[in-house]
Amino acid sequence: MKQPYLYFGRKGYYAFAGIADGDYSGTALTIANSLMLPADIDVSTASTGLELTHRAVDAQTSKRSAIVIAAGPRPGTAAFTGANAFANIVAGEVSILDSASGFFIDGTNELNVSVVGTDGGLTPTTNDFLYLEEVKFTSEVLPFNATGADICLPASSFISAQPLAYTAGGGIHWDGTAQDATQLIFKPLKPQAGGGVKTITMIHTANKYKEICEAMQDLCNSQVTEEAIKVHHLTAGGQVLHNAFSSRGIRVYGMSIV
Amino acid sequence: MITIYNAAAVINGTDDLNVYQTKDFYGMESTAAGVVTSRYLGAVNHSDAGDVIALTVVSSGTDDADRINRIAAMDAMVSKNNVVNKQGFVVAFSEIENVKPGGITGIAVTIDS
Repeated sequence: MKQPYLYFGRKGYYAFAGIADGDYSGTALTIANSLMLPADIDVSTASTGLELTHRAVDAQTSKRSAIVIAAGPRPGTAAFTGANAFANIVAGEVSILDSASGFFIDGTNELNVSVVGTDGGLTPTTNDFLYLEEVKFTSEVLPFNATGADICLPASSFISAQPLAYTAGGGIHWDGTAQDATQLIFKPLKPQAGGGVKTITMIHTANKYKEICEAMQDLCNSQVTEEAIKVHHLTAGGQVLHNAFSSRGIRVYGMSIV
Repeated sequence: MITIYNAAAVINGTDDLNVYQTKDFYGMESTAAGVVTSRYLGAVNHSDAGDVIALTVVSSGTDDADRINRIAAMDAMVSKNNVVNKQGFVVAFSEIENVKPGGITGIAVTIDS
């Protein structure tokens, strides 16, 4: 049967509440909580594919140091406006924490943010949120070149789409965009006694479930049969998202393939 | 449609030349730097692992180049699976006939048992 095939690639995304010392040991990154398993990333080596960002919910006095001020706010977010040469944090400001080896991940996938607390950098409150986001195709993040990294499936394997709430990070990306999640359910890659499915979970722009269904309908009814339709994946240059999604105002923040 | 995979120049084993119905193709995924693993309903028709065809592509040494090579192999197999040819088989890969689309240099078939 002539039909389109859909290609998906994984993208890690982890939103979490701030803590003063930045040591998140005890809460390992998992596919379930972050859609990725970053490898052992040493503090002396800046990550090539991961970005770490702080979103201030609370205003604070003298909690941002020179290294974070030098890195500046994330492009597209408001300039630092606090006093004391910007050491004062204003609610809503967004800081870059991945410069100068700002974090490391140990061999058990536990994150430690070294630019907060006593090491000097930025001290978040427990109301603030931090975001660890995979932005490029990199071997630092697993699964890589292995099951769960990507998948190409015939359109006829698409079973269903299920809307989910996404509440990590307050359900808000660091740029202020509200988020939801959706699971795309496909038939499995191999027959399994008792059933089993392939589940593609995506974190995306809020209130876009209907648009995601429309996009899937467009792709599944497509006449593109000479090559796979690249729905979503990361390259060395960044994220690729099919126009069927992006033209409907859908931005994908994270994606897992389980 | 019927799709043929010929893995070896000498055909004297069950994994040397394999035939599947196109509709029984489940999909593909990357499983190594230079390997795409594709899956079909098993020849033994078990509700089990299915038959696995590993497609080997050039692994150049850069991660992104490898990714591009694997996608090229997947694209080639998508194209093969969408061929409509009611007069004959669709040859997806053949060592004997030197049919090696999408930069695929070799295949290895593992039959579910």
